[in-house]
Amino acid sequence: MSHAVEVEDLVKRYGRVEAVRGVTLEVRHGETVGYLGPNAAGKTTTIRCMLGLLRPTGGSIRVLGRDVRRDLPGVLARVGHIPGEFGLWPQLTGRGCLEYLGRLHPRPPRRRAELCDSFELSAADLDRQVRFYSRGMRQKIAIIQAFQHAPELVIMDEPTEGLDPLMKERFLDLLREHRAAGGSTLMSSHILSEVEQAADRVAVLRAGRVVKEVAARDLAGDRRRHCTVTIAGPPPDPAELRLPDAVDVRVEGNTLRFDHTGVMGPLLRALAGLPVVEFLSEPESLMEAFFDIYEEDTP
Amino acid sequence: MNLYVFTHTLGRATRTTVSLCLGTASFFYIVLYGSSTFYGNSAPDIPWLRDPPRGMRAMLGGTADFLHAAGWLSTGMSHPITLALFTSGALTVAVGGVAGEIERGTIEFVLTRPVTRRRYLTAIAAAALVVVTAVQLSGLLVTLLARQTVDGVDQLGVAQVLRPFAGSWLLFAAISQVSLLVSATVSLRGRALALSAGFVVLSFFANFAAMMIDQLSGLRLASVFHYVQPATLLNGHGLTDLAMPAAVGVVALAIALVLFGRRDIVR
Repeated sequence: MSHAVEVEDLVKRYGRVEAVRGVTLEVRHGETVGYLGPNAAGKTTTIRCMLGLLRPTGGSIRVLGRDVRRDLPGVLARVGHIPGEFGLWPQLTGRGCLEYLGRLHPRPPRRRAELCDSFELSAADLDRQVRFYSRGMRQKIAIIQAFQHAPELVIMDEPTEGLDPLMKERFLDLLREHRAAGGSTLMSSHILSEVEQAADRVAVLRAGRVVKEVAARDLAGDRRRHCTVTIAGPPPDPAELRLPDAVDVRVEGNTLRFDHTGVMGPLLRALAGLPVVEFLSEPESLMEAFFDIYEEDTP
Repeated sequence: MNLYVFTHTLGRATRTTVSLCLGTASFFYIVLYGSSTFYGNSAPDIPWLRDPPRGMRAMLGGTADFLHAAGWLSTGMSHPITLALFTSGALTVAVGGVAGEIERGTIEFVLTRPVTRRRYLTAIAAAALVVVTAVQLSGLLVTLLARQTVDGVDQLGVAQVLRPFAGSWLLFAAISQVSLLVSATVSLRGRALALSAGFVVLSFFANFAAMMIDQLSGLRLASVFHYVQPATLLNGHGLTDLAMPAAVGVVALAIALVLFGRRDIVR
């Protein structure tokens, strides 16, 4: 059975500039994939190629089992999209925008009312022209238009831009509901904590190539832990310590600090020989893991 | 053609279209009302009016007859104010419907729905033609009204009035499709507007220069304005020339469909 998204060896050039250099990526049915990378890494270009807005220079893209080049309308009838940078028609009301976009879709916008409630867009808000909307309100319209038809796949580029923390939480709930209903998601974002909460898998893009593709939980498992050990009495000489898989060992007063990667058992056995008062182990953030990947990949 | 894109586009152009229609109607009525003082018993005997300078004739499309209602209608149709109103009508939807939507970032919402680019562009083309038609109709209806209410204008027959407006419709329909072609290939509204307006101005001045300077007379063939001469049409001639603006419009739309279908949508 085909995947929700299958991108193979995608290349996109603008003249001499190669924005995407052979990206291969897949999103399985019912899966949420975070698509990470710094600015100009090629995330938006990949997404726009998937949606037929850009013509790929090379490679193939299949979405929900259909070739994007050959059957774009068939693909788009089953996909919701939140663009990264967008505008709305300033003289239309929020309701007018949603109705217009709703009519252009073959499926009825059956979730619209529920989503407007969830994102706290009142009837009065919806009846105002969007030129009076804040960035956050415009983003809510973008989210609702993408989900109002209950699409099978949602492709999003920086979807929480401009939302306040409460609305970001609602948005993550919406993603969980979508996944629970069997929907698939590709989510490009700079906000790593959101990707960490929402994604099953993470693909990291750098300079137009996917440099790492890993289950989000595995990424967390591989992560370094920042360890702090407080010892009763004077600390031992770091040179004499034998702490398995510990690196960057520092002694500050009677506190021992180091980073550790891997299984904790041997480390704990080694620490058992010391008069430990307190042991703290804090996993590095996805942000740090993200930059580690970048450093590993830097030639 | 996508009906929703068509009605949405027209809806957004309503105010502009109504303004242009009112402007056109007012201008034509003023011209025809004012013209009544130039013919009949009250006609001033000024030699300049009988034989206007070449520059003025060229500016007004080749002929300038200030002693008959037909001449004034022809003058009204070739007047720079009329050209500005008709050109605005031709450009407003074509420029805003594609380049304007790309620049604003709204086209992504539409083209990531199952609306093919061909159906999108034909909807914009149709909406542009509706605006051109509305503006031309406002001029035509006011001219027909002037026939009933202004002394001397009743000399004009209905069929006689219809011909130059039909020619003008074809001319500005062609211009709207050329503008759509420009708009379909650029991503900035301002650039599309400048290039489209540039096409109109260059075309107008090519015709003007060809009429002013004998050595440049061949240049007129390169101008769409050469093929639509209101004075000639009022006399029942030049109808076959209208095939040229019709062809320009059809070819421009066909090229726009091909290029828009192949281009990347980037801001």
